[in-house]
Amino acid sequence: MDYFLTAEEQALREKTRQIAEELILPVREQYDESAEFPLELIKELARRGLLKIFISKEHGGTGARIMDMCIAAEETARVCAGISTAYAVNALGSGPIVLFASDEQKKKYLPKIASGEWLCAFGLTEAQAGSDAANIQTTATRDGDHYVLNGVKQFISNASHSDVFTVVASTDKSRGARGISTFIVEKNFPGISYGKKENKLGIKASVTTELVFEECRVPKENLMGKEGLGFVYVMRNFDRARPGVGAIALGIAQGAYEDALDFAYKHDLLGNQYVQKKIADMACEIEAARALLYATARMIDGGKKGYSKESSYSKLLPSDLAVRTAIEAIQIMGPYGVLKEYHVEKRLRDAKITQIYEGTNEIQRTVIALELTKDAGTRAKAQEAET
Amino acid sequence: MKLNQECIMLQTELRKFAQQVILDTVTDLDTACGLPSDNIQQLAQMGVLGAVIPEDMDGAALECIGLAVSLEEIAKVCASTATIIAAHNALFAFPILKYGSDEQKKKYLPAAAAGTIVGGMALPMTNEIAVTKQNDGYRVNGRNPFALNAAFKGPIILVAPTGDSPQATTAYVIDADNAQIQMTHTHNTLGLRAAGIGSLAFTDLLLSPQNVLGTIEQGSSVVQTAQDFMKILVAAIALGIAQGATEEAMKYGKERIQFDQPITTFGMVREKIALMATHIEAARTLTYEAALLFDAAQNYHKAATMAKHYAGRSAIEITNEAIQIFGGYGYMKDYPVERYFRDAQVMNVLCSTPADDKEYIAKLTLG
Repeated sequence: MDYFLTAEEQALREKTRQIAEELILPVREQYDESAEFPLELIKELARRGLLKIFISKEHGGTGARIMDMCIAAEETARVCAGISTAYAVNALGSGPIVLFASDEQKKKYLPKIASGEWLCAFGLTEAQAGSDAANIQTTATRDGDHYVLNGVKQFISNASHSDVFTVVASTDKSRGARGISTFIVEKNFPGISYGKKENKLGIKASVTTELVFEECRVPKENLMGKEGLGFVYVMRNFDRARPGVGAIALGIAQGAYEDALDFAYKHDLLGNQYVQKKIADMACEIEAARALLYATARMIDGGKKGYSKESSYSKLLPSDLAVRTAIEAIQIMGPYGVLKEYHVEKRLRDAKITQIYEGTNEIQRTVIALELTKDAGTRAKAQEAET
Repeated sequence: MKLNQECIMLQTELRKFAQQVILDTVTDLDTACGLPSDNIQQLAQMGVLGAVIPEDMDGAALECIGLAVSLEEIAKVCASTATIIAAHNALFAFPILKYGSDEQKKKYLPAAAAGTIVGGMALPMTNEIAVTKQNDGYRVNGRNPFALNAAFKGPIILVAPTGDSPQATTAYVIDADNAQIQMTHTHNTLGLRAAGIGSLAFTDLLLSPQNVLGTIEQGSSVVQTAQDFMKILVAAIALGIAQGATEEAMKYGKERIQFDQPITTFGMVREKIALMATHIEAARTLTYEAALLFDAAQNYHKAATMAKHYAGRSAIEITNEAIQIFGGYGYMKDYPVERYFRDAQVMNVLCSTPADDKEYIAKLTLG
């Protein structure tokens, strides 16, 4: 389908697809098996200009447009969602800096992230704070010119290979979510270590570890924005980042669909109406998801205020679709589908995380329902006022 | 559905064995794509390897329902182990019992019951072979990349086209010591990684008339007999996977506190549990119904296919939701739900494809 991409967007899509097929395709199996972080590959993606799309124009980037992120995330994930995640995590980590950091902070960090000199990750989740993100136990206590961080962040993508982190910690526990602040933390600050490396079902190239702070001293200049507004920053950042997860999911679905279609063609299955139905549904649903995703990206890039629910739509629908499509691709391919060399089994293992990370799909549904409840309340009040 | 006393005793015995012996081995077997040979030997002593074999050939002569509940219990802990037993019974012992000569029965069945051989079948759906007719029989070249139990390097049933049309097939029993067949243990499946799935390579393999199982061109009947019995057992395994994953998810969900309460207090989690439990009950009813029809020597083919199709689909859906209840933890190998999810994906493609199953159900329904 034609989505009327601009010339720049079309060029980005073609460039990313070419890079993905040239650089990611030959190594995706290797990283899936070794579960190592593709550091050099990510650096090469940066050299080819794929990291600067996450960063604002004034700071070495190309504008931090959501549409660009979606295009690049989809095209990389179409080949390997593990490597795509390792890449896209930099957008999640740098997002709060782009949005809420001071000019000085931006000048200091963003050009390095845009060029790929520094990789950037995001530390929010903790063992007891998953869906209940406001329940974080990591503390940041003011001590002279520093904040002292203590706590353990869990399931942190890229933690062990990043140079700078956006970290969420409580500066005032008595205030709950309103006592949360965000900090820019460099890996060289004293008191940082990496805990357990997780052994995951999929996205193995995206190395996931604990990020541990023990008396970690962070200069007070590295507080982002204002104390107590951290949770707001994080949620605003998530609103911009969720379409990126949707795009990764869409890339997985697209890849699984192409695998199934090619297999069905080669094995002469496309005359079978049971297979025809599945292939047709896949193709149709993928276009619908892409249309939703791009509409959300355009809405955000266009400057619309308030897009939480649309952002959640754009993560929820593609991620459910990615899992469904990968499952159906296996079912079309029969026993071949569960063999590694046919790749769709990896697509499914990778797809599953998209229903979980950056807010489980249950949380997305809750966010959407809350927004819709507000809308319904506004409508009811308006009707009341009329009568 | 009420089970008879014999079934309940088997169920209790296998549950105990699965929990006390198999459970400890599961993670290592899955990680390394190992073969649970020790477990299989102990299970042979419990009779499940000779489930379909009559007592006068050293078998346990269990009813299908007894085998089904046994496999369900084993699969709650290890679907791979259950699949080995299912394939051995349904795809090897059962067709030999049904179609084999006295000589073939004597040669294979007592050994199969004792577990000294673990037999398998190369299903035609993954045959990539060329067959040429020669004076002394047929020669086969090519491969089959998905042969159940091939890693045990025991006897294998191969079904090959031997007539003018591809439908005209003949079944052969091939001994493992045949130099023209190479059996390789497959180490790269998504799920059922310890089920001994193997790849067969045939180099000028001679199919001689004395290896024929049944009669010439009876291959499709042999396959259907094996396949339709296997479907009941696959349904039982899928059911075990679904049950195992649901129990894990419930246990975790009751302990996991978010927003100051166990997550099983939230409606979206409760809805999942409700649907998981409902699908399991429906799958169990279909599965037991098919097994009971089989035991009553009534037509079980449609019920078997429906049971496999429904239980297989349900296992995929249920294990997916089980991971979702675990959240991020469910994606990690520290918890068993990701393995249940991987194993579940294989169920519906194990002995027939979903498209084949639906076509078969439609055909039998439309009449």
